[in-house]
Order: sequence, then structure tokens, then C-alpha cells
Amino acid sequence: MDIYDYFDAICSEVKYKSVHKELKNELRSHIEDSAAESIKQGMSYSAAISEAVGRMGNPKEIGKTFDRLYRMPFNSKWGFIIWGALVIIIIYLGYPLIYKLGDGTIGILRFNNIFIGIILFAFFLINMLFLKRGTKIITLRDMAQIALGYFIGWFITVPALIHIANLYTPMHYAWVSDVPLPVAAPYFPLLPKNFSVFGVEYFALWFPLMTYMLSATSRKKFKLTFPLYTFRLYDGKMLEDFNAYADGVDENGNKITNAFLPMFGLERDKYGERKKHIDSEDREMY
Amino acid sequence: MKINKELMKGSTTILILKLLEKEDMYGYKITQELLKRSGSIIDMKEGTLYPMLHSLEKDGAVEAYWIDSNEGRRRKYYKITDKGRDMLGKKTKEWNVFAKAISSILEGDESYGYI
Repeated sequence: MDIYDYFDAICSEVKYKSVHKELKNELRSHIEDSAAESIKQGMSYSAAISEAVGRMGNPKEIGKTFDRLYRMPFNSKWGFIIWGALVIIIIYLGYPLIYKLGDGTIGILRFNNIFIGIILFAFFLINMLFLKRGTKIITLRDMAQIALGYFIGWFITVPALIHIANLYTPMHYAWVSDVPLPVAAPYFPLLPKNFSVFGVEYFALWFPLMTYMLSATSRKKFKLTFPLYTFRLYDGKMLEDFNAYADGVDENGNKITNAFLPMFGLERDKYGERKKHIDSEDREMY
Repeated sequence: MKINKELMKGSTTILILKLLEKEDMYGYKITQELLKRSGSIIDMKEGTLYPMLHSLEKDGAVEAYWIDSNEGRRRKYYKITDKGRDMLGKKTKEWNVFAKAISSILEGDESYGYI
């Protein structure tokens, strides 16, 4: 099986897309090591790779095992979008409760009653544990999906609340008429005066993003790299066999031949990129 | 001799943690070391090893980091954490008790008694 098809077969089972690149990188590294022995003995690069891929086993089963571990919310690849939407829908529907418990001032982040704190903390904890069921790494892709879901939830909820409110008390909750809907006043000069835009709850977008980041498995030493895939964990430790390869000899003291070096230097910048064939044209040194 | 899958399943964690106890390793190296140190008996498949490594990482028993070599090879190394060492210690004790219990039954030692 072609190595890229093999990886696609594995990744098609893993709904958490942000981990695909890391998985492919690690498995590819394994396959290259696995093929190295055959290459040393004279087999061609592509044949050795194919053979090593064959030894790996059923890709769909491997993919399913990873999927069980990584998991998306609601077991769907749209899970972050659904979750982001649910968070704001719940916030909007639950706002009257917070408002009533407090001193009647608008401001979801402002509270002066212990019960509000308890409720918010419980809400945070529930969401944290929900996300923690899967393994998450902090990526911009995930955060973008959460934000997208959040705004979709807003578009579903707020216009509906505003329209229903017009049947009862305009700009107030239909079922608790003394609680105003938390949408912003129209400060935008070019928009019509009664055009409501995102309210203070827009700033509550930090809640799902913060929950997501706190639920992530690895948070130490991350840095943002483009293209926007993962925060990379990098620890520049040196180990003996890394040094050995740097000297041009492997761990047994054997000199690394030309057949080896091109393979090692191969396609470093093409990791993760779509390619149909691996053949001698790829090895510039040959 | 091919070892039954059920026997293997319970020991993956302890095998991986033990290997990482003294030395950080990457996946392929772990499979090779297992073969070597077990006299080719323990042949752990990739489909078992890598999910288990990722699962251990999620539990905080190991940490992972990438190393770029001069020739452009990238390998993901795993390193055991303190939590992992704890886990290894507990599982080793558990294994020893278990193995002793099975052995004494197989050897028909009725005077074994309680531990």
C-alpha cells in the first residue's frame, strides 16, 4: 500500500483532525526506521517502504484505537463547533438566573453573590471534564472551530430571543420580563440606531477558549508555528545516537552509506504533503 | 512460540515503562529493544505500541519531545516522568505477586498459604 494512502486510511478514522500531522510524522519516522534494515541490504527505497507499511498492520484498526484515545466532543469532527454553540446557548438561556441572583446589573462576568460564583464554577468544571475525556493539544484550528460554533450559537439564539421578546417586553427575556437581553447598544456610527450587535457576551468567548486550553493535555513550552497546526513541544536534548548519526556512523559503529543518507535527508520539507509516488527521482543525491 | 494476545495485553504498560526507566526512546527503538531483551518472544505491534504511548502521555506517565537529527530525520522520543516511575513501581510489585501466585498453583504447592 502506498504510504500516503496508508496514512489517509488511518487518519480517516481519527475524528480529531488537529492530531493528524503529529500522528503521520511519528508513524512515518517509524516506517523509515523499519525500512532502514532492508535498504542497508540493498532493497530499493520504495520497495522497503512498502514492505515496512505492510508490516504495520490494518490501518483502520490502528486509526480506531487512536480515535478512541483522542476523541472529539460528541464524537463528531464538528464537535468543537457544536460545543461552542451549546456553550453560548446555555449562557443565554441561563443568564436570567444569574441576573436574578445578582444585584440586577448587566454583566455576565460581574457577580456579587456566592451562588453565581458556584454556578459559573460548576459550569466551567462540567465543560472541562467533558473536554478532558479526549486528548487535546492546543491548536488554532480547534480555537477557530470553537469560535465559529460560538457565533453560530449566537445567531441561532439571539435573533430568536429578540423576536420572541417583541411579543412580550421588547429586548427582555420573554419568560422573565424584568431581565434585559444582554446585547450591546448600537455604538457603531454607520449602523442604524436600533441595530443591536454582539453584547458583552462577546467577551465571554474567552470562557470556552479558556476551558479548552485548560483541558489540553500538553501546555508546557508551546510556540505558534505557521501553517497553523500545533503548538510544538520542543526540548533540545541531545542523545547518544543522535550524535552518532551526526558523525556519519550508526549506533553499531558502522559508517552510514550513501544509500542511507539520501533516505535520511529525504523530503524533510515535504512531510505531510500529498505525494503519490516515492521513487528515485525524489532522491536528489542519486 | 507465539504468545497469546490476552497474556500480552496486560503487560504492555509495564514493558514500555520499564524500557523508558533508564533511557529515553522512540517507538521503533522500543519495539527493537523488546525483541532483543526478551529473546524475540515479545513482538509488540505498532498498533499496540503507539496508542499505548499516546495514552501514557495523556495520563502523564511519559512525556514526548521531537529530536531533529543532522540528516533531517525527526524522531519522537518518550521520557518517563515521576508519575510514570510510580506507576512502574506499583505495576512491578503487582506483577511479581501475580506471577508468584500463578507459579505456585502451576507447581501444585498446597502449603503456599496467604501472602
